[in-house]
Amino acid sequence: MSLLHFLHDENSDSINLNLLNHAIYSRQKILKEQGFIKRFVDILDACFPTVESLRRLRILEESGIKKRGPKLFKVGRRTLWQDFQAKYEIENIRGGKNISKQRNQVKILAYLSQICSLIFEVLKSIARDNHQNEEECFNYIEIFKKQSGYELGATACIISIIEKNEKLLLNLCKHSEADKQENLSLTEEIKMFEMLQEDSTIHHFVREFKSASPSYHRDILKFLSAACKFEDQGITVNQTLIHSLVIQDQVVRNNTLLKIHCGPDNKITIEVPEFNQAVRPYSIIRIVLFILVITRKKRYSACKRQ
Amino acid sequence: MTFYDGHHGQIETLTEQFELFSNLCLGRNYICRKSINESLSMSALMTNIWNPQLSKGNA
Repeated sequence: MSLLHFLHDENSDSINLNLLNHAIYSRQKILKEQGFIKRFVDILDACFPTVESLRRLRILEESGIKKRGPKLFKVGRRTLWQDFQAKYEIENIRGGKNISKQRNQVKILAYLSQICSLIFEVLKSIARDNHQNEEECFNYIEIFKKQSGYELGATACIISIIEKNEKLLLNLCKHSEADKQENLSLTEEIKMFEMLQEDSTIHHFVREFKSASPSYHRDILKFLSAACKFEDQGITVNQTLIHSLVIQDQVVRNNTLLKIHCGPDNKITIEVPEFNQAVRPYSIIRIVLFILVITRKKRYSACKRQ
Repeated sequence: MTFYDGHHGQIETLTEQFELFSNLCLGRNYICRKSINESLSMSALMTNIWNPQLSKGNA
């Protein structure tokens, strides 16, 4: 990940991603001019081109390779491939059995997700405090939106791109194609605007809200917060849209936000959402199944000995 | 609070939710302020502002 070292002029062996500040402007410019942003987005799209391919990332969580929570925070000088080879030994796919093929697929999936996470980190660094690069990255927001919610860092990347750019913040409530329509009458324009508005980035994240995992849920809240303000000033268009979509709509509000109750003594009470309670029975079933498998194995080995 | 104990994730979500509410009201947005005030009164906020159990660090 020498690009991160290059952007931040770091000479140390490893970089702490949480402590990265300003990237060097001229180097950001060089990377943009050399077409790195487009290439990175192409790689992102090639790694996970469809929603189905992204859904396979859930296998990683089930197999325990990728655990929930903060992932990348330190990047070393060794290449990702070297790290990957050291961590997982890839078996020969051609001659292997089905089980080893599946195992390989999981490992490759882990590798691809690691690549995407690092690309999002590099894109954040390329765009940080550089309006031109932020706008260039914003052109590919549809791909970032598609990849958000799979713990690749796409939502954090979107937030980083938009939060310091008023022009982009004002674009969040409309679809990117809305500006490109020409020669339309006023009524057609209004209709087109209303139709396209439902495809806006804010609409997208509000739709994702309902089925989001707890960590993605927090990311969406962070995105909506970032969409509401620019340098301690409110962005009224976005505030009004988020208000009408999330706060005013009782169904969305009940399904997405923590229910807060204020008692007469000003004590705040919060209802625990269902997805946290639903974890327990599932894990109990898994434990029972695990015990059953072990006891069966023991019986089988005892029978064999006799 | 009924569930702060050990529920780091929920406290974090709650903090983000409060952040969203505050950003929605930023710049004297009276419409947002009015509807948020219905579920979260100013006096409740003022009482809980010093509640250390509601901070991310103590969750």
